[in-house]
Amino acid sequence: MAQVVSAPAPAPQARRAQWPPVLRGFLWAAIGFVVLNTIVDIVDPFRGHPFVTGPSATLGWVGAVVGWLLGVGVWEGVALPLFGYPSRWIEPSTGWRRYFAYSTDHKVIGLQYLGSAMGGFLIAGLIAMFMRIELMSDHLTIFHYPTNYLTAVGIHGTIMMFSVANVALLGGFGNYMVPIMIGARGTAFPKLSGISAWLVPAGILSVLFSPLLGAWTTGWRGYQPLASQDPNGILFYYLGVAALTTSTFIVALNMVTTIMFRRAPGMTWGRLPLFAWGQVTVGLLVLIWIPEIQATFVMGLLEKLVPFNFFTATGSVLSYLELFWIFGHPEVYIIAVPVFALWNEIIPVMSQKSLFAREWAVIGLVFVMLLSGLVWAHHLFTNMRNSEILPFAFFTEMISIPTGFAYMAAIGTMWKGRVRLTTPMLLVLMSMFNFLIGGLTGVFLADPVVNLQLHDTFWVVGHFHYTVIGSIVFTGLAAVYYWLPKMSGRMYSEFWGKFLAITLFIFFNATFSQFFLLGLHGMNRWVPAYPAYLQPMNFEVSIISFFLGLAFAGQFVHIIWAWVKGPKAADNPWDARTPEWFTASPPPRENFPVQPEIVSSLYIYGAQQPVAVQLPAEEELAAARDESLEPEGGSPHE
Amino acid sequence: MDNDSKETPEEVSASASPEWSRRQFLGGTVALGVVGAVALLGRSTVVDAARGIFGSPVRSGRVPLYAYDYYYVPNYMTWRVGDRMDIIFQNQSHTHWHEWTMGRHVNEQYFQAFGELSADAWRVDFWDGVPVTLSDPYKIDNFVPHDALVTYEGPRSLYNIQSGGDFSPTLKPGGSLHIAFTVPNKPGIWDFGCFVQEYVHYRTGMRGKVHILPA
Ligand code: HEM
Ligand SMILES: [Cu+2]
Ligand SMILES: [Cu+2]
Repeated sequence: MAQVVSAPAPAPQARRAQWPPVLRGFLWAAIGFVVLNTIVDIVDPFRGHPFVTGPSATLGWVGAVVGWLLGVGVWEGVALPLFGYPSRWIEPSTGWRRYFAYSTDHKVIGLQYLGSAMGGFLIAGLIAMFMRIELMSDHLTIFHYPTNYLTAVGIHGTIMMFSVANVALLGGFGNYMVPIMIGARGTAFPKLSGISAWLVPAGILSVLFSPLLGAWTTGWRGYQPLASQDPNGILFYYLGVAALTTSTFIVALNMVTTIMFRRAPGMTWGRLPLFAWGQVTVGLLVLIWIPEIQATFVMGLLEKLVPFNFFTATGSVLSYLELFWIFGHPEVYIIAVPVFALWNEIIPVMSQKSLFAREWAVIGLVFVMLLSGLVWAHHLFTNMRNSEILPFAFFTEMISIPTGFAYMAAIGTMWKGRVRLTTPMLLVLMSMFNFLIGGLTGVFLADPVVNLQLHDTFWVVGHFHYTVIGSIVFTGLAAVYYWLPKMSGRMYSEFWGKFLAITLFIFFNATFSQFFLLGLHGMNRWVPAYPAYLQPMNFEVSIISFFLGLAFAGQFVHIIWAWVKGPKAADNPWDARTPEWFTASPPPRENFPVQPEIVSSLYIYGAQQPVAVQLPAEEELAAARDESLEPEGGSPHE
Repeated sequence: MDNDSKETPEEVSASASPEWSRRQFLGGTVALGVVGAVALLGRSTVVDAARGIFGSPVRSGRVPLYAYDYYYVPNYMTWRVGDRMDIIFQNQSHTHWHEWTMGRHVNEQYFQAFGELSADAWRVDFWDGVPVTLSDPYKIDNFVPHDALVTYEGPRSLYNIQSGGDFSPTLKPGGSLHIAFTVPNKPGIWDFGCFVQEYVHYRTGMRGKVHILPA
């Protein structure tokens, strides 16, 4: 079945030694920075002629990002052909090198996103370890000043949110799996998508290196007017996040368009795999809220740079908080919706049982998406009047109902099924448990009276780590194990997979459940120094969190081992019915040898289980059929 | 999928684009990582070392000193004992008040979240007993002479003279002040900095060094 589309015959050309694209990207980024920085210095000179100023660094950064993108291959792949110049660029269809250059293959792009997310996770995780080292004692130790600790918290949170949580299941598995799952042979915007994947490392590095321009104290939200009191490091926060959110926006654009227009014949909306439904819903959230927060961040940037008084004299101090959290809460569902979808993707397969109440699972996703825009002010209860608090407390507690649908579908499917407790299934169950704890502690926070006590304590830090790690990290790992045989053609070790999952679960819960207790005892967020009575517990939590760090490292080692050296996997090791399992592993360049057709529901298991996907035998058919002329949708029934 | 490339050695020749070198890629990435780590963690060490090697020219006469958020330009100067200095101190910030203090051994108790920070930052104030002439005051927030021997040109009200803390002219955004003196016989390395907003400016890097050479 694996019919790799072979590259065209080699063009005769001089074998000139070529720079590795990533290194060339760094070089061109440096050049871009220096050129634009210097131009700004000339146009807008500062007295005393400092070389790097706020404005020059901002425009220099733009130059650096353009240089970086061109350098990693956009120059040959897009820019030259776009302007009608001859380009000898030929995209390689095999080999590891294509992962380290611009590509238009959605599977390569997906893995680039996953790699960036993993890199971001390791960096931000390491920073979390440093934070925990600091919190082992009640006074400053490894950080010289409180602002340095706050910068670390900000970098940790920013990288985790904007380049891990927003990336792993959207840019990563979205790009890789969704086109295959809907039977498409490519995505709608392959070039744009190829470019956007390279914005993620640019964004991560901008945020990571922001301390070069000075410390910043706002955390991952970039709060104004506080940010205007910070040194210039905050500029690289706003800029790095601009790159990351732009990348997420492009992913959503590409996914929503691809799902709308490139579904295989017979892939009706009613048959659409749940994970694809998750991508559509989350895509809408992204398309609505990411531009909103980008506009806010641009205002924040200008407030600092010009400076304006958007959020102080002529505006109001609360307006930034409102603008941030009106995105900030939907952000939680940008993270969680694809996770819910994945639970109900993996559970029917592992239980070999039809998905229970499929429509309700989809409705749950959609209503979570709608309600998520109505709850933002629960982050501001300490700044509001009682009359304003109540509606937000109400909607916040209401949102647990559509969330419950995801649980209901999952539990109903497992009910009396033959559940196979494989590593991905185990991780999904753990994820459901952790997210439940996150949700329940959130209900407490939604209660105004309790909120006023717990606001800004480690209770909140525990709550959102349970929701975020509980959802994206556990389910992300489940997805890696579930699709590893598909992406690499190899299998992990079931013993190590389970052993590491259980270790992770234990250390995760041992660490973060104690955050709740710390919070109840009065441990504040954003403080590197705290009252002495909290020290013994913080010390002990830190020790456990180092084991948590090791447990994560163990996962990554195992996954990389399995990817490179694991035993060969069977074609469809889980007996799944979604289309990605009806092609070779790893899938060929065009995903399927010919355009597949979907002929029945993908979630029916049991005695008279019908065949879901058909691949028309005649190869000529594929050659004759223009992909862009595919009939829209399929049979209307079902 | 990486494995394909290893299993088929012909693949390299079959591929159309010239392959870049793996060694170059790995070596270059590691080198960049090292440069990045040094830039993040060891920047001040590198800058100090570079100054030790290359030094900086001796300044005298009219020297502009600009305050920005939160750094000075220049943040390193070399003076010589006995030279006459005319420091034109200007606050270039649009939004922030800044001061210029100079001394040794900053009283930098670690911030413990509880307790107080002392008002006089330096254990040794450079300006103790130094004759100084101030002139051209513009947008002065306040001026603390401490133990310096100060001569004021123009109406004293423009200087808003206060007591408490080290010798410190504090300028409003856009303010400036002319500080004239002869470099006293206090050779060695001296630190300067701005302690406005509870040391926050100093902590975030608003500081510099003056290296005073013997006559
Ligand atoms: C590897 C284990 C992790 C540990 C030990 C850890 C630890 C911490 C701690 C101690 C704080 C609070 C610091 C403070 O407020 O003083 C924090 C903040 C935060 N963490 Fe984590 N974290 C981990 C993983 C993650 C992950 C996976 C994510 C998201 C994907 C995440 C997202 C955040 C966010 C958004 C903040 C808030 C930052 C802010 O206040 O601006 N963390 N983390
Ligand atoms: Cu919220
Ligand atoms: Cu200052």
